[in-house]
Amino acid sequence: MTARTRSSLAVACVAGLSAACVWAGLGGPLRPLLALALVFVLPGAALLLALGVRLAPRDALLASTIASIATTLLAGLAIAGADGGFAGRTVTSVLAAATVALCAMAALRSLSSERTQDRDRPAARAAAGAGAGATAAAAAYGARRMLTAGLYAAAAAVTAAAIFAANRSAVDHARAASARLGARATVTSAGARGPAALEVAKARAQATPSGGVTRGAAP
Amino acid sequence: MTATRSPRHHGRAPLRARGPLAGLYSPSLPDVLGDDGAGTSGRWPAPSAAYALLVAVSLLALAAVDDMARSGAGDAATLFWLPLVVMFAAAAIRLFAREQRLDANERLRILVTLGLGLYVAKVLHSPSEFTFSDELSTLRTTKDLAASGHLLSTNALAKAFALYPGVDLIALTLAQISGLPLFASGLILIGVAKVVVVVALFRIMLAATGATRTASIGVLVYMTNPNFLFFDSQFGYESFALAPALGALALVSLAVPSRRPASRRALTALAALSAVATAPSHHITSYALAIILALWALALRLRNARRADPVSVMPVLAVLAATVTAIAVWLAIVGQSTSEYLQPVLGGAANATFDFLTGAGRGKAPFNAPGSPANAPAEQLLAFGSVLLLLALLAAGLLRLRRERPPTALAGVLTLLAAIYPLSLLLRLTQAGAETSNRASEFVFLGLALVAGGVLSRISPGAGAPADAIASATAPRRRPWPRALATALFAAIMLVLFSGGIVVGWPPSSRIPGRPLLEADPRSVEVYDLAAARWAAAHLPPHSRLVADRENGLLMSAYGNQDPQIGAVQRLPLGAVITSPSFDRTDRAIVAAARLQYIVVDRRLAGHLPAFGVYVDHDEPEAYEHRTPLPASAVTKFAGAAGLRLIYDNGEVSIYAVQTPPAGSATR
Repeated sequence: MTARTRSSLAVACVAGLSAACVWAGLGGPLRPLLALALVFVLPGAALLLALGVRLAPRDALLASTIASIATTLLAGLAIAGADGGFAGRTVTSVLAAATVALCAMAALRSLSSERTQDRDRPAARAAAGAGAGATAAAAAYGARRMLTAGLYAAAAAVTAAAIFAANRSAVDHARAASARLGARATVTSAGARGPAALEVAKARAQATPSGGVTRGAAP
Repeated sequence: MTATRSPRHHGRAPLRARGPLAGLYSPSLPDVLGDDGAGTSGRWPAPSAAYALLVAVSLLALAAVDDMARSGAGDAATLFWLPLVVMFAAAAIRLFAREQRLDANERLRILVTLGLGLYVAKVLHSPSEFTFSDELSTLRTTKDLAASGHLLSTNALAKAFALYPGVDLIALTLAQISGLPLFASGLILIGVAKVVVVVALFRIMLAATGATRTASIGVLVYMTNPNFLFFDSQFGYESFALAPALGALALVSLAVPSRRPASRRALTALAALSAVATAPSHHITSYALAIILALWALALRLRNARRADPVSVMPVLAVLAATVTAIAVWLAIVGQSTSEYLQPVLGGAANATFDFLTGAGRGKAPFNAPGSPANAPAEQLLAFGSVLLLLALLAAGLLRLRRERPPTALAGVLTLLAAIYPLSLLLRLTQAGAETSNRASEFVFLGLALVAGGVLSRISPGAGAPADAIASATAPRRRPWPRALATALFAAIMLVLFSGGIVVGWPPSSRIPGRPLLEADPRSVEVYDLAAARWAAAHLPPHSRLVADRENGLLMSAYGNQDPQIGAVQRLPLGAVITSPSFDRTDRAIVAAARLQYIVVDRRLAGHLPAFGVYVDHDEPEAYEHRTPLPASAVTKFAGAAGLRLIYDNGEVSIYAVQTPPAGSATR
């Protein structure tokens, strides 16, 4: 099995599982990640696999993200333009179906190419042979990467802390402002409806310089 | 260095090229591994990881500054600059390193980290809800799409937003399938778009210059554009549309030099897909994409006519055809509405500038907003300094390129874009043209990034640095400066461009949170206005026609689900209903003609000047020229007026129902 076949099957499986989880409302805290993969990664990756584009990793990531965004947008456009109207679940189904179909196409093309050319087998054997050595090298290599990964993780954690702190600050200040507003509130009696209740509230509000809050009724 | 040493990435030369292109167009070992974890020179941890931590700590400091600002601390406006300067200066110093000391992946990581850091800086400003005006208008369109399931709804305040629903479609898809709130989905979407923009820019600059160092400095110059920090980080259609547009250009830049026909076709198809997605996302961005592609095709044809190694023009032509077709189809779908929206803006800018230049019109005094906190003198100096520096860098680049042709067709096109910069500055001399000039930054800076980046990268090339075409063509040949001095000079120039750009593009009242101000977008979103808007959502029929001041109008639209009316009806400005000292016959005529159902009044309009120059919109009497605040009678005139009934009052904001809304003509 070629790397392209394996990649195609993996992308198809992840897309199918993600779509199933989204449909069933499963996934818990992982659900946003699955949704992100469905919207920003998987359709484009399937497209790259189906088209057989070979790029350096950073270019492949750029291309697949751009293609995913474009695919999601155009799918959403088509669905929103249809009679049934826009629904996130429908977009999910279309994206997942398209992703699986593209991956199946890529896998079939790759398998057919493998049968006729059989070029990947020596490479696969070499890769398997190198696997043991690579594992040993990876341990040393991993230690070297650990500090880099640790720094990135620390940066992510500190950034998350900054966002959390800012959110806390904004919410606290808004809450304090609301409390000040609430303390000055002049609320009409429960269930009061209509102009009379509003006029009463208005009169009360005008009686105090700070004004007040009413619960008015729609005309 | 001569043109013969320019890169061959636009020809049919082998892609595994030597020099600056090595490893960029074909997977080298570090590319396949993704990262060697240690940067180019084997140092570990990778410099980008340490830089990421520095950015994170800077953001933590910025969160503290924002908190101080919310508490009313006076120093916050000054302290705001410190974390931004630290993260930008550190990136500039790092990217100024010699080509061989920092590989392409590391440079890209630093740029992406900086791009994301600047985006998070905007998020920290409003971390719990959308507060910028374009965000509120986008939110309204997205909520309409969620409620109706159909496109092309009516957005009374920003008609074009509903006609270009790209950002709404993806944000809503993400929100619905992830279970995240629309606010979080919008933030994630624009964050992803920001990363795509940075990576795509790097790829475009690389294709134009062929050198990673010059390309990375070019991207850094792009980040100094006045809109990068705030405007292009908003949850808005333009912020999003830049991603597919620049993505399409980046993919074309990969397709053009590709030697394998299958690969070229596949990349062209992906680029076309991305370009097609731009058309329903943002009008001007899709038009700019088409223009750049057309110029690129023309430049390639001219280049092919002169050279023995012709380059395939087909990818550019194919994507151009896809873009033009998508624009035409989308314009056919949305009808004349786009031109109705754009014509007054662009036409008004052109007319006002022409009138000013011929002495028939009045100019706009810079840094003059009576109702808003003023820029400090040092900030004003930085703003002028950044403009003058850019003009000088542009002149230096263009003078050099006059003797040596741009090394690539794409470089020629981008240089042409850069040459528009001085013209775009002319628009800033009038009130009507200032916004158009500001909005041109995203595209003009594509060219400035190339030209200014090329000049700046030659401040000190250092011994043994690989040649790159743009740098060699744009800078005088002389002995390199002492390294430390050159780095300090480069960092200083970049900081002036960066901070000056922020001052030019964003008013001081909107840079940090703080005490509420009148009609100042993010600083005006506060509890009284929000309470009134939420009450309206709960108690008033949706899509009711009303008139309100600018901020209450935005909130009534985004959170109240109402349709605030702006502009004029029968040549009478709707804003006069709010600003007039008494509710007279003219006001009643406007209410009748505009078929208004409600009037929203904020008591705080009396006694304060509007920070952004208008109480309602630019059609109101004395728009942008208010020198005295509204009188108290302007906000009390509705009490007891015949035909009006008070239905809501929270002490600051009141809502009056028009009891017998008569039939009348539509507003614009």
